[in-house]
Amino acid sequence: MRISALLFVIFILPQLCFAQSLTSDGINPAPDLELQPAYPSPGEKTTIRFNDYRSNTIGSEIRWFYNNSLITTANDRREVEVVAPAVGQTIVVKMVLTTNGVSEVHNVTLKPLYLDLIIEPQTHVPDFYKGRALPSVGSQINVTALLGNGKNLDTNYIYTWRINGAVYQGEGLRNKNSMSFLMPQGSNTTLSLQVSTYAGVVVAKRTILVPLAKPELHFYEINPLYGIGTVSVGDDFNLISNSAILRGEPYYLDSTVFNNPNVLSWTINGQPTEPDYSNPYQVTMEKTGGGGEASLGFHVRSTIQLLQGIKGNITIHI
Amino acid sequence: MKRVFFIIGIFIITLLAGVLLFLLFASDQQKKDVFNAFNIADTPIGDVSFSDLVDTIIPNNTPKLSPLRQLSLKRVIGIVEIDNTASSSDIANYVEAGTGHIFALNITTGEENRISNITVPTAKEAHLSFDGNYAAISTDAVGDGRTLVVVSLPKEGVGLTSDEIPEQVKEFTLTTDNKVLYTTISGGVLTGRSYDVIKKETKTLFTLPFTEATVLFGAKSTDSIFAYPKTAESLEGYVYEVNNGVIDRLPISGFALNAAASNRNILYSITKDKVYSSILYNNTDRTEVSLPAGIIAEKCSFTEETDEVVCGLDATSKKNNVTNWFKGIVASSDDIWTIDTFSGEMELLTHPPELVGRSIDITNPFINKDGSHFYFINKADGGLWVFDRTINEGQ
Repeated sequence: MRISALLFVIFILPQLCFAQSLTSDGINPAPDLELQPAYPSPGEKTTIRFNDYRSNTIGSEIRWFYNNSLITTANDRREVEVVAPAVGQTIVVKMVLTTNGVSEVHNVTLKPLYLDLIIEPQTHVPDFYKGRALPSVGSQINVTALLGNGKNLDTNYIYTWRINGAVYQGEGLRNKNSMSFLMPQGSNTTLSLQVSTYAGVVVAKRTILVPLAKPELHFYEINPLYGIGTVSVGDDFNLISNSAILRGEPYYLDSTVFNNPNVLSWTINGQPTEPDYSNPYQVTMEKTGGGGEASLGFHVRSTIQLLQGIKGNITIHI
Repeated sequence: MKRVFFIIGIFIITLLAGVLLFLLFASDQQKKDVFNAFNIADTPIGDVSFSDLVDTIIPNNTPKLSPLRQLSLKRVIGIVEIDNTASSSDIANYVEAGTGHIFALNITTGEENRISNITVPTAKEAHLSFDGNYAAISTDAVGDGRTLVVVSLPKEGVGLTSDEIPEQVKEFTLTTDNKVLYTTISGGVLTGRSYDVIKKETKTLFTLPFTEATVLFGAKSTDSIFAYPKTAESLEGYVYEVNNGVIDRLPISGFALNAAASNRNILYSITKDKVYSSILYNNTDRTEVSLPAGIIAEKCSFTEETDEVVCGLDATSKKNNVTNWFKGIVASSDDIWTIDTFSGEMELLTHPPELVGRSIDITNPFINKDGSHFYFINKADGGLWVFDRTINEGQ
């Protein structure tokens, strides 16, 4: 009994496993058409390659058809480039291989979908900034997957998320087209998503790199009438009037740190100075004597996640 | 001997007096004779072309207008040119930053009148109706949104009034059919709404499942609305069209995506193969044409009546880093270009440093219906400018 089981594992099981992918000679994989990318987006250039490892088909006649129209530029080639159709449309690419008067036909169907991954890092940017926040170490990232299939944001699928290769929550998640994770330390993060029907048919796959950003500090003047200026004061500020209010804006600082920082300090020539009562990210400067220069410093940081912080200074000309 | 000298003296004096009298009384006759010799005096006066002979005289009370000129030294946050009628030609309404006061300005004479004294503290952004009857003005942000005030200007016996939208808004506009379209964030979704300024009714238009979105409203409330995730150099963006509440993905995507739109066309810019480039997408026949330069779409405005888009473009900038421009840590020195939306051909309209001797960083562009007046705000100081295409630079 044990011997027969062993023989089954050694000889029969591999045959069963590869029965679908081997030719009749039992050695080479069965010829097929391979898409690159495997799940093209609508309108994307897509390469279709004929994988065939049989020796007796070398030099055979090959004809490619795009929805039954002959692609004349691809005669006798084992690879063809086509443009995927618009969303909601389907095309069939057919390849006819003729060897010694005997023809065999291979088909591949392209029905592309948009699979968009929208990244929304929960880091600070000022309200006037029209760009998107970027993720910094340890900050939360909200991701929303939008599947554009011609219907209005259809979400009735199984979503399998992977962060740096590890499956999120250990399995595919029904109808869960959004998720959150914390930006890992190190470098960029790979985020993948596979979308399948409830029956298990994969309809789209997408992999993107989520970039890791460092917090940036820029200073802006506050005008009591106009609010915050939209042009940074740069590295130098001329104190022309009797007083001025400056705000430090720590771009891409984790929002939880921005809202409750462990360290938040202002200094003038290295000496601590008090921020504004109404907003600790602002400081009011007043002329008290003659002219000269002073260094205005700002520092905000989390003491738990030390990379969540930024400090900088500018020169004030009085 | 003395008598001889006396006679000679009398003769010389008489001779000199004669010469003097000749010069005084006979010179006109002499001139006439000279002109007669050139045969001009007999020419009929109606045949002389005086335009070639005399200089143009400019009356002191009509200053020569430059096609590119600053209209206001105040900081401005919104501008509209009132629809051309016989009585209101070249009248533009603008909103002052910080106060929200509204002014009517004759862009030719420079005469202006304040037409609303309703104060909107820290007024930051404004949109005005084409008929000059309404304005929507937002305050500076507090928390997760801004307060939006709708001002109704006096008309037909109705005085100046204002209403406040009862929720915090993110982005907004005022359409030609007098509806305020705005977005608001609640429960992790972005909702677009329409507020009818006449009926004072609010209607929900759409919801988006993400909140970090830039929304491009149409000129009319029935126009398509476009939305895309806010611009990021290192993150991909995608454009969606919202039509009657239905969201459809357009074939537009890319890194550093930013866009401007009319009902027919979308001008978008992306970074592709490390090159910042712009493309015009025709949303009617779903075709696109590449432009020869990378343009920050925020600097562009589409005309309503002609098929062109007018943009500010810093052609000297090797890399148009759009997010650094948003941060205000880089400035651009823009030329003004027009782009044919069919062919994608670009034509330089003016080079401001040459015309006015200074650089201009164009933001908040607005072009009137026939494309003759391109208004914008100089980001450096908030001043309002116009480029008047009805005036030639050489005039």
